[in-house]
Amino acid sequence: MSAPKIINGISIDETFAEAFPMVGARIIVTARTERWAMNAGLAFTGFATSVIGCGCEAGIEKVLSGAETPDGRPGLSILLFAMGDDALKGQLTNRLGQTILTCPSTACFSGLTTGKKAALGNMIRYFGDGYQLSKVIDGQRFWRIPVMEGEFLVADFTHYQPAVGGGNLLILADDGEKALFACEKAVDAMRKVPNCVLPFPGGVVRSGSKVGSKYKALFASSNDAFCPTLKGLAHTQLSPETGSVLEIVIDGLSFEDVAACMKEGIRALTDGGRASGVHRISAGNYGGNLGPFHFKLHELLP
Amino acid sequence: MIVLTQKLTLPHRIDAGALVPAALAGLSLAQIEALSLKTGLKVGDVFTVAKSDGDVVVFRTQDQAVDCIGEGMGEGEIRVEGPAGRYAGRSMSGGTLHIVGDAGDGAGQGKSGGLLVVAGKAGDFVGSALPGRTSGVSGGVILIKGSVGQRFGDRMRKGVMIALGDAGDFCAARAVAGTIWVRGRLGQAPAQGLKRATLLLEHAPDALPTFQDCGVVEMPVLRLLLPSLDRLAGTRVADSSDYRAHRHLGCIGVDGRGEVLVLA
Repeated sequence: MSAPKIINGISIDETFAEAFPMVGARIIVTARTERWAMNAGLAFTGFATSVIGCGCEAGIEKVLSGAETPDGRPGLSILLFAMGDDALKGQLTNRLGQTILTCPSTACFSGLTTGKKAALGNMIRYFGDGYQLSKVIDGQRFWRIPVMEGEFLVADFTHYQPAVGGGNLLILADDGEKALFACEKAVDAMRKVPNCVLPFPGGVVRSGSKVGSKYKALFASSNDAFCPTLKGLAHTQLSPETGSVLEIVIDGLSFEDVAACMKEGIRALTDGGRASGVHRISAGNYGGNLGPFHFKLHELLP
Repeated sequence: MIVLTQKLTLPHRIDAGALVPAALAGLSLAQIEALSLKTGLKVGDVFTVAKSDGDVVVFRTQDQAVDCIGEGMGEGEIRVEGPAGRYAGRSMSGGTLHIVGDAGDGAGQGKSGGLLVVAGKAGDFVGSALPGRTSGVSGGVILIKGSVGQRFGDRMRKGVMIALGDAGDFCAARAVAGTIWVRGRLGQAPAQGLKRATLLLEHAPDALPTFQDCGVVEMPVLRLLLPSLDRLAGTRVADSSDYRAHRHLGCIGVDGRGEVLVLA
């Protein structure tokens, strides 16, 4: 490895995060109160950490005030990413039908205005069993689906666009507690960057993976080179001082968005300095052969 | 701007349907005056024509004998400074037709797009179907600032129709879809044969015998619809800050899933 750079006592590897093309859609969910928008949003984005096992990656992008939503109620913007058009469409409508349609007081709107179309209400409307009504307002079609609570209002479709998935930072710290608290601060800062989500629980993943496995059935397995309990292995990437490694994964609507989010993460981590217990920042890649998007850490320094 | 000032009060009606912005654009004053009207007269026989910069067509009318103003227009702007005869904006698909006075029967018949504004009152069959057709208005906006006659929005399919005054008998009859908002009072048998459209009212009609009373319910769609109607009409829908409406589902005579909403 080439020379790392050191900021506030934290060493930043000269390496890059390797990311992949995905497709991404944004939806806006509103509800009577922010609490109920959040209930819907958490359910919608639940079990959406990694395409490896969830079919999509999703997260809450931003909490919106009534002034920022189509119907004037508090809400959320949500980003959902998938590996292809069909996967994205299937995940959107399945999750919409099970988590937003079902959640009291919610309504659901499109969050992008350009790109290809993915059905929202256009699919869910059949739940209305013939009693659903369409209403075109200011040129946009909405569906009104009678439900026991009253009426579910949902946009006909949302748009989706090419996106970037799998931007990442590896945070190497003295121990697990210090790594976790440093990541919390980084996540808080990174979540302020628009057009991005951090799909893992709390934005952080503790079980970063490598491609492939000794077991034929698995196509991803534990990133052993970064496991502190395997530090004695010949191919370890860890120095003796590393007690724990956590990863923050970023999906965004463009390369620039993911880069901005990673940059904000590096800034927050280095602001904490060596005293935070973090001593090194690295990134996950596969040698550059798999993903076309390379985020070079040294180009993202504050 | 092309200004057509009516200089005669004729004993018969005049079909001005050919005089839309797209047809007049690029013509000289003499060419416009030489255009034939369906009655056998030339434009110059009936109107004093003046031309200046811009493509807006202005009719300065004396009476309601000038029919079909803006018929079939797809773009541009027509302003009628005075009353319009029958069928103003018939079959229009785009552009803006602004009638500063009253409009006669059949305004906006078979209209598929564009904006038709009548500052005064309008006659019967506004926004209804063309003779022999099964669908009425299929797009765009009709705004009548005064009162309107019978069968407002008859057989409507899509779009928005607004009457800020009263509406006559059979308002929204046989409408298939779309939104009709009447601020004033209605005549008899509103929404008869309604299939799926919305008739939005601020005053409860006298009777809706073929509708099922669903009571006062919260209507999330009103959060989008009412501000949109406000913007279109340049006025405020009656206060309904809690977005509730008395919903009547029907018309059961045609197994309809439409609704008459009376704002709570």
